Amino acid sequence: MIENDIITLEDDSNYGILLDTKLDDNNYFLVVELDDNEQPKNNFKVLKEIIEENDSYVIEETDALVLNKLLDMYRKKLN
Amino acid sequence: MNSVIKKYVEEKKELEHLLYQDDFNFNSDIADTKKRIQDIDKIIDKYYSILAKQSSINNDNLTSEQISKLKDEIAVDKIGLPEDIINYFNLYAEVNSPTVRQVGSYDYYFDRRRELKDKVSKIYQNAPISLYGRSEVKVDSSIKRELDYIDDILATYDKLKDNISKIRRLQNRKDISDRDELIRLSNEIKNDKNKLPLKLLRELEDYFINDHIDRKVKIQTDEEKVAPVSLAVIDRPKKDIRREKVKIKTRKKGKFRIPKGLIIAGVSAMAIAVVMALEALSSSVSSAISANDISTLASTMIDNANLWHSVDPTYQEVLHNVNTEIASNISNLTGQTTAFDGASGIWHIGDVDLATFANNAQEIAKGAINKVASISASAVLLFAGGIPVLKKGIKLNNEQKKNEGIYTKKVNDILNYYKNYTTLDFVPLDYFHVKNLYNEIKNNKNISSYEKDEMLSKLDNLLHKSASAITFDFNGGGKVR
Repeated sequence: MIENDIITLEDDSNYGILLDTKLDDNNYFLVVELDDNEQPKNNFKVLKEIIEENDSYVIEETDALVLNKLLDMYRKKLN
Repeated sequence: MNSVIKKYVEEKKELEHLLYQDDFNFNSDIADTKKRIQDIDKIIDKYYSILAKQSSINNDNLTSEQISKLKDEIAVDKIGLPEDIINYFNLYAEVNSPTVRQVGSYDYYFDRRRELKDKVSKIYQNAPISLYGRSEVKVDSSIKRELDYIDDILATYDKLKDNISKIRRLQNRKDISDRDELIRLSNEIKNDKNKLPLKLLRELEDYFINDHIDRKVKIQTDEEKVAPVSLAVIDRPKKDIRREKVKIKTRKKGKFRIPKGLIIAGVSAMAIAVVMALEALSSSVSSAISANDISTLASTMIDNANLWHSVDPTYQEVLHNVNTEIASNISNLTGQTTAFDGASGIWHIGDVDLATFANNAQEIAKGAINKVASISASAVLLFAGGIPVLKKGIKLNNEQKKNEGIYTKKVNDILNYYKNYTTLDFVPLDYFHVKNLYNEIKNNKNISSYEKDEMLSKLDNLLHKSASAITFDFNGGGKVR
């Protein structure tokens, strides 16, 4: 079992955070989507955090180079 | 023969028949009949003369003076012709009047098609029966030609739109088994783009970027339902997190069990998505329309090279193949020889390495390099280690590395030396020098088979081009192969 942060978005979707890191002054989460029982689905994403007026938002990051870097960092973390 | 002229031809036959009747012997009748036959002959002659001139105006590549002269002659020919024949030629001229093709939007072509069809329909309604059954009218018709052109434009636009939707659905699936279909669609899209005016391509670009986000989301959702094995999103959140930011409601500590296999599958799926995204880049609508092709290709190679370090061997091979294909395109566009050095893992374009080439290319390439550099310090160490290392699942020993380095340099030197002849059908080659190198590489056991095949293939191509050339044998003198 991994103890990590779980975020719930305003549309009630849940994501388990596998990696929380800064890259080029932006905060990124490598996440796995969780079902209603908080068990991982086969859906991994990289989310970019946006802070606006003390509220935290996320948007999916699709830049291939950022994705690649996050994957690389996660592999190193696993090893 | 159409009904207009047929009427006169048949009348002439009847009159000629009358002349041979025994009881048709009144002098005055005979004279009138012969006069009428002569008149009909003139009508028929003029009819075919005008038809030939009109056809020449529509089909031959005439100067404006020649066209003007023929039109004057037609006007003279029409004098004294019966009204039905004149009406026929007026309609003929209207159907065949030259139309000016404009470059317009999809709506313009759509409306223009309807306008032309209405015009043809109106002419048909006013024409004598069977008039437009005549093949020469249809063949000559510039309206028909413009209609065919517009039909082709609109069909290509619709097909392109459909194919772009398809390729996006496949990219969302993130499934490596879709690779062949992705390549096929990419090629079709590339070909169809060349057929459309730029204005329509821009419109298509806007369609996918701005106006139909909802439609695209719906397509993705449908696709996900029929592809449960896909590694892509299965249950899309209510908000499209790819396009709009979504607020984090809560963040808490939690525990979840994540099988190692799932991590591998998930991470690999993302890696495939990254590969697919970059593979599609060279043929995607937006990049190919707006960017300098060479710069885009060079920067894509750099992106791919950067990715190579962190994807699985299978995808490293995919990336390498993609870069080989892109390098071939750069070679075609620039006439420069491209070569991959397996020992150093660096691509060369002409006399410089890829990074230098891209750096000298236009802004897009520079931007890509800066982006890579900000994320990875190893951006210029392209494909370090080379694809064969991981492809074969073995490490090269020092002797192999040394050999591959030496021979790769020799091959590159030769290719660079003869690069100015790459566009010719043959190369004035020192055949035996190249052939000896070919044999050395072929018989060398300290070169991996992958690199060996690559090098031999390049030399083979060069040798093949020398087949029809005069070559020089230093030992035996000049001879013709």
